Amino acid sequence: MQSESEEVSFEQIAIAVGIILLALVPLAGRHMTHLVASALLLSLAATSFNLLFGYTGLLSFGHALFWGVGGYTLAVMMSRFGLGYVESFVMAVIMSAVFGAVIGFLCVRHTRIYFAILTLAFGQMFYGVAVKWDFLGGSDGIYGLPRPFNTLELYYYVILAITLASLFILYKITRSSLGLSFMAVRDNAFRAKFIGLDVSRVRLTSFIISSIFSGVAGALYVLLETAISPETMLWTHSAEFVFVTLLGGPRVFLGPLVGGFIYSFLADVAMSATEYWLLVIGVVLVAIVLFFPHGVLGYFLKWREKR
Amino acid sequence: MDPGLILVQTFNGLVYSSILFLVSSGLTLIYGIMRVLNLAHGSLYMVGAYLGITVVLYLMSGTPLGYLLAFLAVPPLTGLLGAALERGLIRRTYEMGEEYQLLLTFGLILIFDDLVKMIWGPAYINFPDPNAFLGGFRFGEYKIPVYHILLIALGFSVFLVLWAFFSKTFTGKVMRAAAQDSEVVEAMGVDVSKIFVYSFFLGSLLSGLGGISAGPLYTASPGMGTDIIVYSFAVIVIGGMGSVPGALAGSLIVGVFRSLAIAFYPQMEIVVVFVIMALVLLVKPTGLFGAPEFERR
Amino acid sequence: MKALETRNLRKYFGNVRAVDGVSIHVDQGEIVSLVGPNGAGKTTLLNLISGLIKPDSGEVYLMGEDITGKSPNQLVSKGLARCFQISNVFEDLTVLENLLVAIHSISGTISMTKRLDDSEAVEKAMKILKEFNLDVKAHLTPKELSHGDRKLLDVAIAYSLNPKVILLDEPTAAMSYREKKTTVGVIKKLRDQLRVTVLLVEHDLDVVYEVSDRIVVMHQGQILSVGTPEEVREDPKVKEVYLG
Repeated sequence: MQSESEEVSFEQIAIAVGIILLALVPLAGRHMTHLVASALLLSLAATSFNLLFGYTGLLSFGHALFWGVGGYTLAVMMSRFGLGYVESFVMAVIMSAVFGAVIGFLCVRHTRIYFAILTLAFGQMFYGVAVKWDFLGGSDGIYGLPRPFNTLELYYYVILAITLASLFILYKITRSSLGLSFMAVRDNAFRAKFIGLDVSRVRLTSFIISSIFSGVAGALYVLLETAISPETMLWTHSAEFVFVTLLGGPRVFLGPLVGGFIYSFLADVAMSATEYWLLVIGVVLVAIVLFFPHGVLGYFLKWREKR
Repeated sequence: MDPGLILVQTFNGLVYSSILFLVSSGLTLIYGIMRVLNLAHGSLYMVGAYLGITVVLYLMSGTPLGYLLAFLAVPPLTGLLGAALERGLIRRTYEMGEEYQLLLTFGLILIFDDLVKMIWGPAYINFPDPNAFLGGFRFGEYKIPVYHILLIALGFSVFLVLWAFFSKTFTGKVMRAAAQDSEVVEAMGVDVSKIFVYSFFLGSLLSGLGGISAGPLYTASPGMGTDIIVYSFAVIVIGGMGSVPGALAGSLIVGVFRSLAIAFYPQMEIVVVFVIMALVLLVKPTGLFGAPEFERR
Repeated sequence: MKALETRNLRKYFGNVRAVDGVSIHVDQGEIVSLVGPNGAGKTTLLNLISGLIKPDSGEVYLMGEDITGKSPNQLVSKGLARCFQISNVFEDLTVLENLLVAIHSISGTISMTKRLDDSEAVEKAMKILKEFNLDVKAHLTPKELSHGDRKLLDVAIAYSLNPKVILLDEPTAAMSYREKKTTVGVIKKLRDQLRVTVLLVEHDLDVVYEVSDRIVVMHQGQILSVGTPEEVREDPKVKEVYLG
């Protein structure tokens, strides 16, 4: 009991320090601000992915689709329909939920590899739509969108605020009875039926929530880049969410966040060092799977437990 | 619509079906026997194409003999590469859950893509046209190249060989039994880990064969592996994961519909494949030839 | 009143007549045991009743209501809970959370605004854990429990669903003598203090004779004999099946 209360305070201190550091990031220059903003959004998407994966036991290999749905909705609403930032953002959230509901409905009847491959295929399908459909800008995507407040620094704080708020909501969900039902289905879907849970409905609920927050991340990202291209929906981007989550640790709520930052900084360094930076990422990925499958945060917590 | 064009596009679709079948039969075979989905399966297809261009162009400077040599030598090489990956890396994930398998094999894709760029360069490489010495037939205003006809024949022959192998030979039957229950097969005194290596060898050989076959049609490029693997996923989901006849049916459907879409509704090229997949799933969730999946207890 | 009843229930697997025209009933407040040699069809019968598989023909009634063909999660809300032969719990949740999820599920309080450790639910869960002597292990995970405690947890989960009828599938399988004694106590407690009707599948005849009000003997998918423990013990047909 005693160690538990200490643990809470340690976590609280770590989170407080983290938030202060994040608030100070714009002092470190434009490159760093942009990098941390991207890392935050990747982390948010990965955390929402992990609600489905780590908490509900469903491995989506097509989650970038919802990032793309959020992003494209925002871009289309602004550039084609002339809506403002807030209205476009709200539309992006709604569309992410709608897509999550429809695609989730088709996918949650399957589990494991079948589920992974289905989500992957749907992601590719909408990549195909985006590449070929002129309304969405074809292979160039949609670009030249105005950034809110016209400055990167102020927009950074928008991203920071929405990301932290979203993470807080997601955390609350994992600590709710709904989150508990996710975990029960993850652990033992068979038994879950025998405690009265409608397993498909539980999975679908998780899928939709997860889609919404991936969509939020995608929508915010569009205005960071002031552009969106179909590549954001490719399965290689979805795999990034998976990678980041396993890197940080899927069984810890903040695992994907830690993974998201490590990955973003690693990719930034590797990209400036060599044109073959994906090779570096690939080798790291293989090494993680073989040697550190519990993720950085997972090992850190284990190590602290032992002391 | 011009009926001649429909016929020609259907024919072109069958050519693509044939290549899809070579790749996806290997993918579904490995999945069926081992319940391992190798995302890097497409990378072996790519390596097959690049090894092919090396033999055909750089070693044999485009002679017919070079083609013959490439078709004979390259598939076993990619088969060995696949077997080595299984032995060295993928095997270590069997106890860990499939997400780690998928992630590991995804890491391999990134590695292979960059390695290919390092060795052969990032640009597309054209194969010398095999129809220069094979020739072709005229069909009204269209020309049917002999190479295309040979590819279709190759696809069907491979299907027949696989079918005969799994239903007539002892090794094939044991491999099928291992897919049902590896413990029972092990109790019969069969080394299951050997079966796993064989499956990877055979599956990867087929993928490499697909690669060398496709090279002369579509050139060799660093992204070709990820393109084909995604279509192969659709193929095996449509046909039923783990089923070789399913892979054939899926390949025919995907290949022909995609080809017709390219001719008549080019903006639907990618979408049509996945729409078909979604429809099949709605009607028959386990795919056309799939056995029901079992929920883990 | 009949809490649970099957009428002419039938299920064939190919040529195997797993359950072949079985009509049984369990009165409210009773413990009825289902015994018979391996392959007699006991577990298939439980699976038919609990909605895991659908019968070829025949009906199942719970408190007089036809529940044939309903799915397991629907049956739970109607008051039918079951446990499993191989303890079947949520491995990565704590013992307490194992119960909490069942309690939230049955009370319809699954929601993203309801804390999983809602004080009312925790109080209820701890009370049940105490009944099963698991309260001191509330914060362990099932992996850290002994075999006997895991099976008890399985029963506790089922009990936390406020069932009218509980189906127990070999609750004492592979248990030590002491664990069996505890379990016998728990089964009796279900009936005597917690007022739950029990249909029990059990191999250990000592356990069966000790707890049962009535016994149903199955053989090759059919009912061989029904009666009180004394009647069944003396039935020559039963002796033949078990000894000959």
